[in-house]
Amino acid sequence: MNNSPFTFDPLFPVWTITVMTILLFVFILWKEVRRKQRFLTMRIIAQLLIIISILGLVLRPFIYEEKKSPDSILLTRGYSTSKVDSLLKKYPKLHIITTDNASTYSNSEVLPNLQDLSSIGDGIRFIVGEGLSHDALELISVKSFRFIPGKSPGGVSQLFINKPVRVSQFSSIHGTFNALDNSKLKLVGPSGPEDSISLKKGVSNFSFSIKPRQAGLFIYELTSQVNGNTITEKVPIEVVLEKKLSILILQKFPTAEIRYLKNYLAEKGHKLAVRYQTSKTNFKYEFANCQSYKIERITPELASSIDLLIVDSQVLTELNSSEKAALENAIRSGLGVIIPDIPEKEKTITQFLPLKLKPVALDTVHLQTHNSRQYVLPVQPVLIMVEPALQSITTHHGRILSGYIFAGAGKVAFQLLKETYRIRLEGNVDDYASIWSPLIEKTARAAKQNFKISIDNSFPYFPDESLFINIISSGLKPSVYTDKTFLPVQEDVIIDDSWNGKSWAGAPGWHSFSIKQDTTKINYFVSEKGEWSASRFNNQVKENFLNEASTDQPIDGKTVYTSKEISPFLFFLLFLISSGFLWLAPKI
Amino acid sequence: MSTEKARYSLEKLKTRYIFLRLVEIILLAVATALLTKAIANLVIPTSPLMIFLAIIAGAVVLFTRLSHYRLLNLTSDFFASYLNKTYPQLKESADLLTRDDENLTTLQQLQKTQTLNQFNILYPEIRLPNHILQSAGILSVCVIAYFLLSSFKVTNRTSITEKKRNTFTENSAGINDTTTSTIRSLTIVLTPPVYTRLKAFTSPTNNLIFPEGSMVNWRAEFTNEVTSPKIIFSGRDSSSLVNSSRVVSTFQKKINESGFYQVQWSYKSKIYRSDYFKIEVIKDQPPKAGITNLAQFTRLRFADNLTIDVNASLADDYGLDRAHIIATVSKGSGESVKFREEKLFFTNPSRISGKQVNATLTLDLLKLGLEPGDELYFYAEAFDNKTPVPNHHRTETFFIALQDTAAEVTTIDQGLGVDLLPEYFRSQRQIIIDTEKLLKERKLNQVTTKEFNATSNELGYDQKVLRLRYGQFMGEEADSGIGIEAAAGAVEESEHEKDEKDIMKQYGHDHDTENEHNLVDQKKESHDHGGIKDPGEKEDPLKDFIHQHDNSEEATFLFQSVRAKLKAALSLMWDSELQLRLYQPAKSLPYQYQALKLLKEISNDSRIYVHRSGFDPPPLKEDKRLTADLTEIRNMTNRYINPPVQRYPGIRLALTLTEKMIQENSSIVPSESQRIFTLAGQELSLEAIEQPGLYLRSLSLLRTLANQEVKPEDMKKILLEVRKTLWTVIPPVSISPSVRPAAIHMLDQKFLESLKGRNE
Repeated sequence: MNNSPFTFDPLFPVWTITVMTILLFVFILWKEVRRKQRFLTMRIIAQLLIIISILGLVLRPFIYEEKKSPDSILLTRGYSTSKVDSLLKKYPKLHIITTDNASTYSNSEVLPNLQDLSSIGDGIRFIVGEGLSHDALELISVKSFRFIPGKSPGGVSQLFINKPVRVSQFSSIHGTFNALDNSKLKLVGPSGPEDSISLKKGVSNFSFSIKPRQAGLFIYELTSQVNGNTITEKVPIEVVLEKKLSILILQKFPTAEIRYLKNYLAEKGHKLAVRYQTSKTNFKYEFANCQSYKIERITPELASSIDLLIVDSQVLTELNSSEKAALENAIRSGLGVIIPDIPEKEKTITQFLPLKLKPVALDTVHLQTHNSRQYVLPVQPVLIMVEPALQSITTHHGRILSGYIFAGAGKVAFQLLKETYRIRLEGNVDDYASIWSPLIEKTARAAKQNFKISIDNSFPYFPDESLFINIISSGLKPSVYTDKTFLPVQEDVIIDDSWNGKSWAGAPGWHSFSIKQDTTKINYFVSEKGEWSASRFNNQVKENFLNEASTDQPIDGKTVYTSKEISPFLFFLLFLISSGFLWLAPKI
Repeated sequence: MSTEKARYSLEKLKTRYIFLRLVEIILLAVATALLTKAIANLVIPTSPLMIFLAIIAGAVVLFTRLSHYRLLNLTSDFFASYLNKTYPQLKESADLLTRDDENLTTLQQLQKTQTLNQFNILYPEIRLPNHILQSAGILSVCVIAYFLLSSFKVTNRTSITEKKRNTFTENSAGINDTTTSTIRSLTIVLTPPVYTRLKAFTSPTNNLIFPEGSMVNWRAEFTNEVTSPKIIFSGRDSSSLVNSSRVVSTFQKKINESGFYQVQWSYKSKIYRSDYFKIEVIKDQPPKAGITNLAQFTRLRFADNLTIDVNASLADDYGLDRAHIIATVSKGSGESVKFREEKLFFTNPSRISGKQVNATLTLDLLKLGLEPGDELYFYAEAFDNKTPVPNHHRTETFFIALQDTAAEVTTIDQGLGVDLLPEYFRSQRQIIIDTEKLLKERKLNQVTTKEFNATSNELGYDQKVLRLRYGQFMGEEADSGIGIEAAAGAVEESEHEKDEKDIMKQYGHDHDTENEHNLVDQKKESHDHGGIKDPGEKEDPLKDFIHQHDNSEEATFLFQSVRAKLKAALSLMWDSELQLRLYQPAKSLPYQYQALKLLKEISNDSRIYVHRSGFDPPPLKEDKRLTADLTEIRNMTNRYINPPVQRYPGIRLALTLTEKMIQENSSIVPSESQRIFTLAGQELSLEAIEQPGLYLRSLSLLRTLANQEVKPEDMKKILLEVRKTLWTVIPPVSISPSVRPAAIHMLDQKFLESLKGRNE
């Protein structure tokens, strides 16, 4: 800031005004001197004053005022009176402001509009209660407040939905519930109640599991008892269909295990190719849900065209070096490989599956599935030693029965369980699927996408509140649309291909962000105002804590400068007086 | 007052009286009529009959009262007597007023004059008897009662109307509306089959519940003349209604299966359909039969009472027609078993009918021809009166066995084993038992020393006999032996033993022979050369090439291990015999026990067990595997497509649509969505045939959605209900793996791809 007490807001460019003023002054000075009248000095002064008044009108000068902004305390909804009392006792000079939705406090002034925060926000030293929303906080340029949260309202304070929720798959909805009294929380789906839990007073976690039967955008409902009132909150669930995989199975000889696995995958519509050896030179090929193709040997083209390779250790060992190299490169670029049998001499496959094994005597496990059914299954009598790169999928009393290791962008998995087809033969297809499906899904190559959209805000979203989206692109500039409206995005200054955008949540209901270049789309649900009060409180409290000033900052006022416009009336009056004198002077 | 005037006054009084009485009677009659109508209104539906009854009742009261008061033939005397009774001032002379003076005596005339005066005074005060007030009271009570009773009836009527309105939603359409035609009324008369003995009835609603095989008669009355009216059954079969008049169509069908129906008609080339209605058939249950007083297995002895009462409890939902007992007598055993089946009818009651019957029958086992060892199987069978094919049910089979006391053979099956040795090892056990008995008797001093010694010696002899027999299995000759006895007096002993053996043969087991089972050829005897091999003889090089026998070591059909055991057993028998002969049976016992144990082992060893037969494949030669010349054989390729079978595509679409409409609070069904709801309805109707109770309502709702017949205010409720059903119909399937989306930043991707394997 310069030291000049004035600042101007000229109506025209300054140079034009300057030139015009000088020319005008010179002209009228010349005219006055030429006029053979009395009071020349006085008249010249009057002319000068006229020029000054005109300048005042066109330059519109402001005068700086050094001002110490008043320290204030902002009371938001749900503030604790006792805490405010204590603060005021310690800092009696604090000016009390309340938001329009907060209860009044003695000698408090109501903040008429959140926009006013831009002017008074810098003076706020304390925010008490539920705090300010993200958008309101943005209006405060210098955040020098400390945040004292109020008491959380009862209800679901956090909610997480494990995404994606897929058809016929158990998905969990879990969260935290703040129960003001003993409560019952119930999840109601399209077909009626799905699950319920009794919660004791206090904060407790809950978890529900759902198994949707149909893909689409659905609304489940969470009903709870808070203060004797039944509160129903809408839980948006987007159920998606599975995308089919392209799988290749290579076997030295046919086994029942792979036969049933093949049948299961083919029934589910996955593209499947199976090769097994029937004699030294003869093979049997099976293709399901796809055209037949050559699979005599593993080539880079073949490996890149499939998502998952299930190969037994014998075939893996007998691959020639070029095939091994092709396979390894494919794995590194994302291919998934499952080895359903780890050979006794595991070193033969160490190239692909570098695991530390320990032989053990236990060769059966009592496996319990999601449906609480127990199966006694044979298992390879080896113990896989835990290491950081190893991710387990099926475990039994700490013993890893199936899992995978990362290899570049791809994964190599193993399955120690044997004769799992017995489960299928017993008719428990669900249990059979629960053993193989996660392993296959997590190992298989992930689909490459050009864009990935994510919403930075936490659930729930409310109408007229800002939504921040982040897009990761693969080199292209995304054309983002929110519903059908174009949304401008800007690329991150430092990180390439990371784009950010800001949108405003619309009317309650489902909305989407989509990218024009391809089919990338995310759906999001805007909740009704007033819903999810506990979650909203929780999110807002977090936001306010993130924005509060560090605790070592002193609580005192800051000098602020305000500029005040000099009233144009004064210049006009000056103009009138001067002009009046010039009119009067010849007559005197 | 003159006589004429008095008469006139009396006439006036009479008229007034008649008028008053008539009013009273009419009030009563009206009251009665009203009351009758009100009461009749409650019980009789038709109004003309009701009015007729009311009039009759009123008329009855009217005429009764008229005759009671004799109003039709009222005379002046009646008044005279009334006045006399009521007004003593007239001094019982009122009747004089009606008489002419000419017929009166002077005294009477004088009295008449006085009476006239009195009458003249009284006249204005005369009050005629009547019950008008009471009658008016009764009438007002009856009027109130009438309105009360009628209002009750009115309420009922209203509810029926409402009910009907609920059932026939089409009825609400205007009657005079010629733009559309709806069903004015749908009357359904159900005639259950004759055998159910149920009366025909009119269904109170269009949702039908009736016994199986009922004749259903629909009578649909339309508001306007319609064309091609039909009834569609379970969304599949349609039957045309027969037009019995311009707007009335009827149809009759015998229905045996549950489902649902819908009426369809055309009017001005537009097709209309009614709501779906349920058809629920109550199946004729098969009769229930059970035998209440017997256990399933009864075992009787011949001495027991061989008459058995069988109490059967029989029941059916509509009525039983007949029942009987099927008894099977089985005689004999094994392959010669014979069966004889008899049908027995219950004796009490002799004719089975009714819904619940407790029938009894006495089974006389002797009459049935049961003999000891025979068995009787029986069950009761009941048939109901269903036509044409009756339902029937039978009880469990009950068994009565008559025990055969004469011979009860216990056979111990020894499995599939072939017993090489005859079962005479009991002898050793017998000797042990006898020895123990002897020792016991001696302990109790029951035997003298002489007897004891003699018995001990006999036992020793038994032991010897046993040993010799086993010796035969070893190939030992009767006269050969091990030890002293064999050397001394062999011939004599042999002869003696031969005799003994013969005696034994007579009493002992038949099979105690050398080769009872013909396990070795009989020619063995012809090669009996005798002689013992010289132990010092040099080994004959030709031994392997010649037919050698007579070797006691070889002359047996026992295995080597068995022979060794038998040899040991014989040795122990020797020791046992020695102790017995020395009159020391106590010392012989340990040998006997050991011998018995060995014999037992031999017995087990020599059994041949036939293994379960199964294919024992020859071992694979690994080096030969996959080496055959298969150049001619081509690789086999199978290709198959599993089309993604997603059941209920229409229901799935409708579910998504319903959810969307609920979320958007839609109050109308968009016309493009009607097709989806129709499709879903078609798919749901297949399910509804199986479970009409579960899905019929939703099917109706889907139809209303498809036809855009839902009121905006009901839309959300209906959509929620439809969504619930549709979600339930979709069958759960097992999970399937899926491709995961992986939009990772290019930098991350490059980083991961460039990561070297750990082993490199």
